[in-house]
Amino acid sequence: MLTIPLYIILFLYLAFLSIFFIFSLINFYHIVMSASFTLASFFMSFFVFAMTILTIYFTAQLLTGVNWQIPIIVLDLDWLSRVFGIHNSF
Amino acid sequence: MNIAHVINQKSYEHIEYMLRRHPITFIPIFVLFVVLMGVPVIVYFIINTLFPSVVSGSVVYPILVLSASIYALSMYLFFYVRFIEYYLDLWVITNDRLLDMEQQGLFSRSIKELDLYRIQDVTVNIQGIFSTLLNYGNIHIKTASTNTDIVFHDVSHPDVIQKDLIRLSEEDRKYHQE
Repeated sequence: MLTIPLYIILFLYLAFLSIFFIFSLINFYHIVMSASFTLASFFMSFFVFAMTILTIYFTAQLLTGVNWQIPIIVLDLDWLSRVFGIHNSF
Repeated sequence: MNIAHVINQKSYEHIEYMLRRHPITFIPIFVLFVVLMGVPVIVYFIINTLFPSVVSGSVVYPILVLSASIYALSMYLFFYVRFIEYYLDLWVITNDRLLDMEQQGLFSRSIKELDLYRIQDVTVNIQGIFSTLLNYGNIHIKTASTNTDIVFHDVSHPDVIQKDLIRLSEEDRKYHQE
């Protein structure tokens, strides 16, 4: 049986967050460098960043109290034996 | 950074028009964003109704929350990138030249420049109900050269811009003939 702790998923989420922030900053950089930082682009950037902060806040709120040490079964040989009808005789 | 710096404005040059797409053309993207944001809510209600024990599972619950969070953030990024594509398409007309700056995705941007005296033909194309009612459309600008044609997409009052563009082009042509 192959297991990984649940916090590995959290690391993947953090990796996604870092990519998300890099891409968002590139977008904002484009706005500034193309002389398009107007009221419309300010409101749109504010909207996106506010929604991002709210989403991360509510994600953190919903995940308080989760035990991140719980193992997740990635591969169990019993699944294969069930699929192929192989009975473990040992 | 201001527009004068971006277009490298000359001392004798002044900006006549700064054009962007009509705001109505962004509404389909906004509607799509709202619909896509509703998807996780619908999925949650379906799972919660059919498999209530799955949602409260100690492993599945955090994975579901993180997945929903990743989905929401991806939608914000999609929306922001589409806004950039919409808003950073910019056409600048000065008394000397016109510039076509187009954003294609996150990592691609093209800038075309055309001297006004080289303009040979300006065509306006208004198609569809919304374009007709709200008075926006495409302006095709052709030159003698085959590879430097410029199109202003979905700009407001294209007929007025067309007239002004022809006038500015004639003035610039006179200046270059002197």
